[in-house]
Amino acid sequence: MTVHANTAAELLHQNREAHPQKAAYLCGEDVLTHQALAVEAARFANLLRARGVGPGDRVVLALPDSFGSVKAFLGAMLLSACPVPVHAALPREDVAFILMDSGASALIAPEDSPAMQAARDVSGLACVLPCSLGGPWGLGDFSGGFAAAPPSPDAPGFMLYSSGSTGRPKGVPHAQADLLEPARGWGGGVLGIRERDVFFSASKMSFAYGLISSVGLPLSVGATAALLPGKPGPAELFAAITRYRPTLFFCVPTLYAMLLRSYCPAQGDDLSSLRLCLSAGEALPEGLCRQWALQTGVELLDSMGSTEAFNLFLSNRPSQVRCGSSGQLVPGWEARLVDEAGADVPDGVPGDLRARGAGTCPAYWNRPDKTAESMLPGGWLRTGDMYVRESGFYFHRGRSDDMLKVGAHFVSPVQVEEALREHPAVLECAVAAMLVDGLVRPCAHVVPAAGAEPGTRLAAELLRFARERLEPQQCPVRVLFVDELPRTSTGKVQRFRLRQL
Amino acid sequence: MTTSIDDLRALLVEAGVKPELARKLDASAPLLRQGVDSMDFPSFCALLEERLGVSLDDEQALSLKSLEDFARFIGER
Repeated sequence: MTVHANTAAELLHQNREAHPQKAAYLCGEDVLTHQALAVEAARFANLLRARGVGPGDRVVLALPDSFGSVKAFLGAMLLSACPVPVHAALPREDVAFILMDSGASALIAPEDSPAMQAARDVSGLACVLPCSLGGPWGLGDFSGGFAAAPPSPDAPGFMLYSSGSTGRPKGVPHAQADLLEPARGWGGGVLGIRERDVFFSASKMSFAYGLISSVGLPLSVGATAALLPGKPGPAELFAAITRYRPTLFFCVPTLYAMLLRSYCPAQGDDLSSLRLCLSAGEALPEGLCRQWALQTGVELLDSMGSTEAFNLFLSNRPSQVRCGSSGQLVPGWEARLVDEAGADVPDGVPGDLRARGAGTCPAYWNRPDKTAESMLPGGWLRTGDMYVRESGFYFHRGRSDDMLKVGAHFVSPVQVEEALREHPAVLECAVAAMLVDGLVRPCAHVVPAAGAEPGTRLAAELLRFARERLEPQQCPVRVLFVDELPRTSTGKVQRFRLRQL
Repeated sequence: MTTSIDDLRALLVEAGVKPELARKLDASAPLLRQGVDSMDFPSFCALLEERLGVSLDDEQALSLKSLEDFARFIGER
């Protein structure tokens, strides 16, 4: 069996030797050099070891993107533990689920955060560490040297959680070395990343896309990345781009639409530093792709990847952008489009996309049922996305299941329906995709309860009701009242018949 | 078709924007720069399509930023 060196140790060493005083990360007014990053990550590894964390242990990081989150992620990797970055704003019960599901030994989160409260709901945590944006208190007391061992090939190197159709997120473990796979085909072959690039991602490190663009890609070439801790709106994103002058900007279609709708060069929005804008997470509408380039003068490249792949396997290429398409195969990847029987379909016929390449997740964490559905024999990943291929370009044609991809998040209609059914005026409901402004949004199809009066007032009331109970991306943007829901002969609701795409 | 700025303010409230915010929005400045957020905005667009029968899938609709832009766009339909 091949023994791989410790990926974090290699990356940190290589950058510290090549350009110690260069900025690795920018956050707020502060700069973290490659030298300081190497020292601080080593300190973090020593701190975790002193607190009882060992190789293979899962370390859940519920941290905003910041110096603290990068130090923690790389520190845990140096120790050959398994960092599990989750969204900093994840509700308490979701963090508790992930702590239990992953069998975590450690939780690192800001003091007084919902994640810290979740630590009280689970047992077995050896280490609960409060951590501010800069890092945990007392980190400087630990040695800045750490002799990292190669990771065990059997233990996960890092793990991300991906939403599931039933609402139970699935752990997606990856080997340490997978962190660098995106730098080969997508980073090197498509984006042409180089040391003098400055990366800036609106997607957080708890998403594969954010971890790739804020950690994997920039560290692989010794570049600089800017980090934004909060939930960025258009104004904050423009301010950050003007301030940090990134060359590459990574964002999702929903936010690109909002950015375009707020773009005011006359008010000081300055995108002149950007050489490319990248989009992933959900299909980029054709008009948005074109208008972005027209209005800002910067090319917007749509790509398609997944947490399971920890990579982008379809992507447009600079100067060859085809708006409305997720692009062409990324070097090193293979793709198949298949019909329901699993047979390849010809160009022009929609098929279910399957992808194969290096660095994919071999199995979900403790979920053999879901693994059998998605990780197919021969190393193929089932994506659940329908595509049409024409002359090497891939065009998204929706999902092959009931899941919605909204604002780059997977949304299960089941959870939204459950929340709405708690309202006394709702007898039955089904949630399906509708296009607003070219982007997929949840639409609620509601059968009103006896005595309830369907109309504008009730629709507005249900939208508000949903917002009090659900995550932003899960909230229906529209309520339609119907007499009955379409069903199969066995009574199963046919959500696909309600889609308005 | 004509729609007044005040009609649009009322639709924003229906889409979830707080009435006091909707009242004081500068009609000539981008909505998304004045506190209308990523949840309100798609609901507002969906309501516009439903009530006024306009299609915002039109590529031109992507340059609509302010209340005045929306009113003008609807007026031209």
